[in-house]
Amino acid sequence: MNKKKNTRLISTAVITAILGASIFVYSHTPNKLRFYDALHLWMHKPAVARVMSWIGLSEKTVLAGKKVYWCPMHPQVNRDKPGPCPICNMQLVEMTGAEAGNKGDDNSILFTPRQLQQAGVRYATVKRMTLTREIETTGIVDADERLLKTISAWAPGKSRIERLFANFTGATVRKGQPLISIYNPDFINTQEEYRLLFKSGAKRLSPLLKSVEARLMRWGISKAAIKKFRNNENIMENITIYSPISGTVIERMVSQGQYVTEGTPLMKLADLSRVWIYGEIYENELPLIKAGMPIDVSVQGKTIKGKINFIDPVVQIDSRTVRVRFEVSNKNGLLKPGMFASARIRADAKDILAIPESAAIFTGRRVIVFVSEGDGAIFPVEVTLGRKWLYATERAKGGKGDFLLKSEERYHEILSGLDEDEEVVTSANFLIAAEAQFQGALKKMAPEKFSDSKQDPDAGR
Amino acid sequence: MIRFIIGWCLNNRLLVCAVSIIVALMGAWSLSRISLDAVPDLSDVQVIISSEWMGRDSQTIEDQVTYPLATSMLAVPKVRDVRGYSFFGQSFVYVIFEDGTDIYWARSRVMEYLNQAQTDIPKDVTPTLGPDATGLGWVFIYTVEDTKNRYNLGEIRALQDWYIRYQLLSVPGVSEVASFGGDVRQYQVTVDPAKLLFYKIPLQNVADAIRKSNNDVGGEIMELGGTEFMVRGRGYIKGIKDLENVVLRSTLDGTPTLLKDVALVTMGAQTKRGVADKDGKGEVVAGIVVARYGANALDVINGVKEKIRKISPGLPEGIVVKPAYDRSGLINRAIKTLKSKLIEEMIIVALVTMLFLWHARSALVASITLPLGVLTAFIIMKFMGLGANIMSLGGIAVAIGAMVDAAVVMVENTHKHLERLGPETDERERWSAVYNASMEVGPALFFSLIIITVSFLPVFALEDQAGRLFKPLAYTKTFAMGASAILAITLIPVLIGLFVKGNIPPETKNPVSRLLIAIYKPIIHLALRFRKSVMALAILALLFTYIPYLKLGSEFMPPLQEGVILYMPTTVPGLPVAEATRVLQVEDRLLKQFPEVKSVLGKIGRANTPTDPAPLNMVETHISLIPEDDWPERIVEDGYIQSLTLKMIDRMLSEIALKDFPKKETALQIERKSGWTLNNWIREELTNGKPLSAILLALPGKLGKTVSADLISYMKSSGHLPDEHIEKAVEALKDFPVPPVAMRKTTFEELTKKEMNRIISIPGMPNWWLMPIETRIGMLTTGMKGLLGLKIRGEDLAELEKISLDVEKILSSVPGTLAVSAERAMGGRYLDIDLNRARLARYGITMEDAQNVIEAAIGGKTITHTIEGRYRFPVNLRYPRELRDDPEKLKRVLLTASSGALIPLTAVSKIVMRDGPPMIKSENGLLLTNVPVDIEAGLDIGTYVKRAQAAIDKAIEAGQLELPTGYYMEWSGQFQFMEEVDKKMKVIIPVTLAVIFLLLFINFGNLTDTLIIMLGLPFSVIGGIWLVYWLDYNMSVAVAVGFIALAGLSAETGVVMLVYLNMAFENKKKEGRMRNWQDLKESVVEGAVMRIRPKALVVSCLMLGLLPVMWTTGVGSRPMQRMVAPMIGGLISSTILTLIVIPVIYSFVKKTDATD
Repeated sequence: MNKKKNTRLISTAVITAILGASIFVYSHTPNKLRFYDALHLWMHKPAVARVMSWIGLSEKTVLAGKKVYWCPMHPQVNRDKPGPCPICNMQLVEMTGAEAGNKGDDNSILFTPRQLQQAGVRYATVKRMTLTREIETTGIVDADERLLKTISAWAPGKSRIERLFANFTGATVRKGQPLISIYNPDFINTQEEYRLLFKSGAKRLSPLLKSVEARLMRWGISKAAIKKFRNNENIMENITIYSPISGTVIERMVSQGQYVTEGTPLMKLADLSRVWIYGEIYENELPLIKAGMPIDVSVQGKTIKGKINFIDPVVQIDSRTVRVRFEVSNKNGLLKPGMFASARIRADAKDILAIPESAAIFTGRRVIVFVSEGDGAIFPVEVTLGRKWLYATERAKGGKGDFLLKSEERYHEILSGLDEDEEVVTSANFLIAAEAQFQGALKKMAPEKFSDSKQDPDAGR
Repeated sequence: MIRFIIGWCLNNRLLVCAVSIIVALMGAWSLSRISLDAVPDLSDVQVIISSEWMGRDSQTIEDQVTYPLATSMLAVPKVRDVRGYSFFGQSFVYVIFEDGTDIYWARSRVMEYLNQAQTDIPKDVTPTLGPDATGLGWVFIYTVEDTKNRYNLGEIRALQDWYIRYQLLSVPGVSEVASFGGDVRQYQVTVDPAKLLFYKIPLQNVADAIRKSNNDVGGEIMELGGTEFMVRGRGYIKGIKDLENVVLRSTLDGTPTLLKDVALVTMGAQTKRGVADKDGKGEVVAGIVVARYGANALDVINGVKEKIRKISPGLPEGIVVKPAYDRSGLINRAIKTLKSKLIEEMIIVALVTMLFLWHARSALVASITLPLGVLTAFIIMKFMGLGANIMSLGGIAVAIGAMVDAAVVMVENTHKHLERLGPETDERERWSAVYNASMEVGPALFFSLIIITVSFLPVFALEDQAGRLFKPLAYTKTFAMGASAILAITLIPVLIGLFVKGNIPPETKNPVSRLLIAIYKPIIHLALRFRKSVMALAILALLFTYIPYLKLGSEFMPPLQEGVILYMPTTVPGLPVAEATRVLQVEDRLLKQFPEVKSVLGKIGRANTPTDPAPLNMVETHISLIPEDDWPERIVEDGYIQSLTLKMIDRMLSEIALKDFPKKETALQIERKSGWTLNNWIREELTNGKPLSAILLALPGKLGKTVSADLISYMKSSGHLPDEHIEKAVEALKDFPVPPVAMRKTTFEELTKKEMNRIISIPGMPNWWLMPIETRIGMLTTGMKGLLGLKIRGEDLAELEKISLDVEKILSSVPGTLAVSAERAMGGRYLDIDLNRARLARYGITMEDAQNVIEAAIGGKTITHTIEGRYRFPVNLRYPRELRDDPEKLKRVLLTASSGALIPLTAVSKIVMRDGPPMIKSENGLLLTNVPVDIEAGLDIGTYVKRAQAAIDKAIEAGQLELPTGYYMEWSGQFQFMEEVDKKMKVIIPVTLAVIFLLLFINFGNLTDTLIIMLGLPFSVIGGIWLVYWLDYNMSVAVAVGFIALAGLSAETGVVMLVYLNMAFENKKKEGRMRNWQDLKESVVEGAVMRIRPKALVVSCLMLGLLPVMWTTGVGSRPMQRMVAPMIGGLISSTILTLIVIPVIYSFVKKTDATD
């Protein structure tokens, strides 16, 4: 009895212990090891295939058969079983005969909306537009050559500068204002000669008188003044030179009391109400420049707009530049000859097919643009660019300040490869190009057979 | 000898006990001092030579710096590999030394050779040695954040660069603190070329003037009024004002031209080569703490954290230093897992002994071996400088069951002896019984423990990665086993004598033994009757095991679940910084949305350290995860697709259904419009020509129960569907029997390679999911990102690119490829300014002048550094951006001709865009391109490589891939290690078997017994392979090591069996009753059955002691499980077979013996 009880007790204890232990073990077993879950996995996973494979059917024959699964977005992905596409995670679909035949003909790449959104893809339309190529150059303000006057001593022999009326450089003079008076012994002699001749009254001497009169007139003495000489006892000691124009003394070459010989330049006058501004253009930029093109000149922060009205026909030997000229009115006299200026020439190109700068990808050998077909289909197109990095002509309004505006969108001219109204990708281009590379879409394009000239970005210009 | 030791110890009980206590105390001391890490240091001995050459392209750097350096390094003694990396403006040469080379010895050798090599490289390039650390030393990454938004990125970066960085650098064990992200501030002197022209000042003069205006001098000492004054001439540039007032020249009449007259001076950001982003919220400044080679990671991290705490109050208000990647969490978790496993194992073993012996004190005696043995192992570890990590602790963990064996058997045998003596014994009789019992089994057990120990020694032959990984394990296992073997013959007999007394329950009364005997007896009888069939069955089972063996996948090491994801998508070279920043932010934002993610620190490009040779097109994002226990349950796999479908329907209802409801649409159209991925079923239906509306109505039936309910509410809330449609849908739902949708936690692979991979799909950037430590080890050893890839070597970059792109194409269509992206050897874009010598000559411009202008005006040149207290900022000179932002404008960059005239660049050069190498990699002098591959979750490397190689071979055969002479490719990464280990294993396994054979022979002294046990070994493999197969583990080094350990264990069980069989046989023979087959059978039955208890005890201890490792998912459990699984499986089969087959074999062998 006792023994029986003992045994029962022990066996109960043992069973309890085993039960407890198994519960403990089970609860501590990872899912995968648990019977139920393991069975679940077993049913689910390649287990069946394994069993099949043991009985002579290899994994491949079971799973592959004739079926090929592919990703419609990424035709290069071919798998022998369904599952997500390694590139876009789309479920692979079974390939039918038709698809197997024509897949890969089209080199467009398909993106899911999620991909497009994550990449931040944006588009722009290929448009005809007026664009501007800007040439920035240095310039210098110069006086208008046509409005320059040099005053020189015209009295024969030596003469002395008696007085300088406009006696400093930069002095402003009006037309007819006395500038310089000079003493010339010859002049006094001539006056004497004239009076004596007149007083003698000899008719036969009148040709002589005429020639003296002409001499005086050439010295700048007016007929009226000459007439005064006839009776006047007082001899005019000095010749006064009057300003032929209104303008500025830009150079004074003599000082008071100085003796000058005939022909010595005394003074330079310039009319600065109009000035010239020269811009320097390098040879290679010449084809872009035409007379009449707009030019913005900035002098000391002030912007003046104008048009090129002359292109120097000669290249400056030392600097290898060609000067282009444009005239500006300078009524308020702010522009001084010799002033330093920066000039920006706008070479407009009207009505050209253009894409935003960010749409073009320079691969080194060629230029690629991604064109959207809509619905996430994007395909690479090789294009030929014409003029590059052109600015849109619509400029921000803002008066004088708009000159330095730099944030404008830039464009490339399209010579071939794209048509108007096509949608091109303007952002996340890099990522799309990378994807295209990974998918080999770029490789599928026409084989590279471009000559060196096409590699040169200069060639398009 | 062993008998003598046992005897001596029994006579000197006190001394033995005292020594044991001392050993225990020493062990406890060692345990508290031991250094902790997650994994053993796996990095190669590596010395980095980094040289900077500003603004030079990679080809120039390769030709003039990297190649000369790399080739001269090849001659350094003990060098194994030399890897060269040429970047834009930077060169890295990685010199990798043979295993076991002292790092500082290696560094001085490299230094020596560097001195010689210096003459071969340009004068203005100064190669420097990188830190004495490797990429594996990235133990802690932090961000410096401004909580109050008061400082800009430049200011924060300056704070990081000049303050925080140096503070952290002072922590012991820190080799380098590298900054990345934010803006490096610099003074930017933007010169207006028009003004330079106007003032006729060459650019060079401006640079000179600035350089000459930045100095402080000393004027010695001056004595004034009896006091000494120190004279100084002060002239450091201290700000924008100082720079602006730098005099460029002065006219004769004293009018100065100042820098501000010709240039704009600003404070700006240096060109970035690396960007950091946190959680997708915007750029941040971050720092990487690189631990010194061999330093203890945990100590370093704790030191750094302590330092951060100390300096935090001193930082400007609102500035905080936050950890972004912290390896200490992993270390602690790994150690914790292993620790708890050790304790669980000990408890289980103690319980098992308790159950079998049915005597508490005896169980205590047996169990005492465990803590003592472990502590002894720790003492030796401490002395050898081994740290505690998952591998070294794992070594102890796999030893536990075996450690207790000898003690258990000894106790059991004593029981048997005492049992025979009966309950009334005096002290002397008892001690002599103890002596006899110990003598009887002691030597054999000691030997079997020695077998287990020694048979594991071949593991030491592993080299490189595998060696570094498994040597610590082999060490600790050996120590622990050795210690327990010694304890078994010294302390244990003493303790048995002291404690095993009182009422010893006889074996026959033990319910466990009775049960076992009851089961075993009929079986053994049956087996002895059908001996030949048993043998045949056994051999058949062995043969059948070959099938799962063939089906096993292979990998180098099971991944260590690190708790941190390293996300490394890479695109083609040439990604601009702004785009890189944007993409990085998008990715980080998406990643942060996952509930499993704690924080995301994105990095693209390089951090400022030679240990990080990353190009700007490579993302390296650390994703910290919340503890795995807190991960939410998700609908995984198919279920997920269903839930996606739900949302898709919602979208379709709201966007498409309204307009085009009755119209037929193709699957593709719907997908494009809705933005969701259709599942196959819907696709099929659509192809079958069903209208969308019908499909929608039928759809709920295809979904799960909860999903259906959700769908109804979705339909109702969307408001676009006519009521009758909804009603119909509800109707359809009612009738449909639906299985429940399984919600469960994702595994790490599912989270990354499935869930995250699905959400993040940025075109042109294939996702790459890795783990930091694993990846860094791989990158160090193979120089390639990821765990697997092809290395293509050759001489010409263009050819290499062609081959690698072809390979990429082939691999991308190999099933199992998750991502593949060949490095674009020629993928870099260059804007070449080809200077024309003839034209330069015409204008009298030297090549150098022209190049200086290109360098300074376009690139911007750092002229000098300002010294402002602790801070240093570079001063950079360049043209205004708007004059150099397109090639057309570059043409107008002006050069000064000898005549003084200014000539545009275009007059002397041609500007061409070309492709070129973005970076050049070389290995041992040969150029190299890598094609890294990431494989799908659940696929093993070995299988994949086999498949991929077949595809490549096929392509070569078909002529799609051409490999010219001088070019070759090889698989690298983990596959390379695997192959190496494979080769090693082919030696190690026979050696192990030979060792076991030799030891057995020494022990038994006869060939027959030895062979009987050796024959048992193959049978143990059966269970091992089947269990490994059932658990879906791949063949790996860990599994192989497990099998090696198994060999020792199964030999031990065999020994125990044989000992008892021999005992019974000898007894019978002595009594002269060994006359015929019947006698032999009886003796076998007696030896086998009657003494089942000790055998069962040994096996249970071995096996159950390993079990706790199997029921954990903690960090570090995976490698352990791979190792333990074959041991457990093998033990099961070997036990069954030992109990049945060995007696059968024994009866075969001994029969002839008896009849003779």
